[in-house]
Amino acid sequence: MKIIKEILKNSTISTVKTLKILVKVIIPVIFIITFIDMTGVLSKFSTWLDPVMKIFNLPGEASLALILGNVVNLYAAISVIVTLDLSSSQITTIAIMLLFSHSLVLETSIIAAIGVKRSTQLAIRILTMILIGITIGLLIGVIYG
Amino acid sequence: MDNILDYLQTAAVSAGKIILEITYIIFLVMLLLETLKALKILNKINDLTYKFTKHLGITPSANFPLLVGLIIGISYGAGAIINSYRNKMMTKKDVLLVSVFLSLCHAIIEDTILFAKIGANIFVLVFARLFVAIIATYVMNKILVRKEKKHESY
Repeated sequence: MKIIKEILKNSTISTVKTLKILVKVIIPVIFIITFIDMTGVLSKFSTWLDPVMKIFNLPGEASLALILGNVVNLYAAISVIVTLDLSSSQITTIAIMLLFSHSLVLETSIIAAIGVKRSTQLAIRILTMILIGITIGLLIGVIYG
Repeated sequence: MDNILDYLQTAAVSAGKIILEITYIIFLVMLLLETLKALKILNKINDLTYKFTKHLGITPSANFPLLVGLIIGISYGAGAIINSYRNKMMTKKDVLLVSVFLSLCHAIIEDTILFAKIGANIFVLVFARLFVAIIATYVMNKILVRKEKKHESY
């Protein structure tokens, strides 16, 4: 019985301590992301990127999924992907790109809270996303012609 | 005016939802963590998995945050990560290495299922993420070790 009390006490204390930090990070981020999402500015921005998508062997419209995934979250990206006519290999390409780099506003803020510069995180994730996108896109192009 | 109200409402609702969800999951993780600690199983799991993760250059106390983040993700795993950081259990190098690894590869179960459901290749997703994250962390460790040595030689 004493052990159970101790466990409950300790987990409550660490949950509260962690939440104190997280709430400060998450609330402003959600307000920013929701605002950006509602203005519709992302869909305009993404059309500029349409031509670039060729290097990943993806259609131009896929740029909106990439942008939404990176700024908002994976669910926003997936809701766009399902409306596109992509082959299963193209879905794998865009999935792996998004998995390396997504929800950047939120996730970089959380890791910044433990002291790693946001610019470092962004550089690592976006570079990896681009390199892996080119590699997988190319490989799939070679394999499936 | 309607737009602003609509915006505030949407943002407040999603913020509330996320906070509730995160509170719930963090509490469960902490509960599991404390229970494993009390039953003295945590050390065993740590020793066993550290055999693999030590090659990344982290200290044993960074092992658990790394595992939690890998399995349940950055937002939900933040509890374990921030906790170890606050308790000063991780070194500066640990924080950087764990961050590099987790930035590239986290929530490996949930994220993979999400994309497998719409038809992506599971093997490519899991393998590419783990592979790239391991290589990146390994390289970062080598760079940090070299930097440390340079400092010592002065």
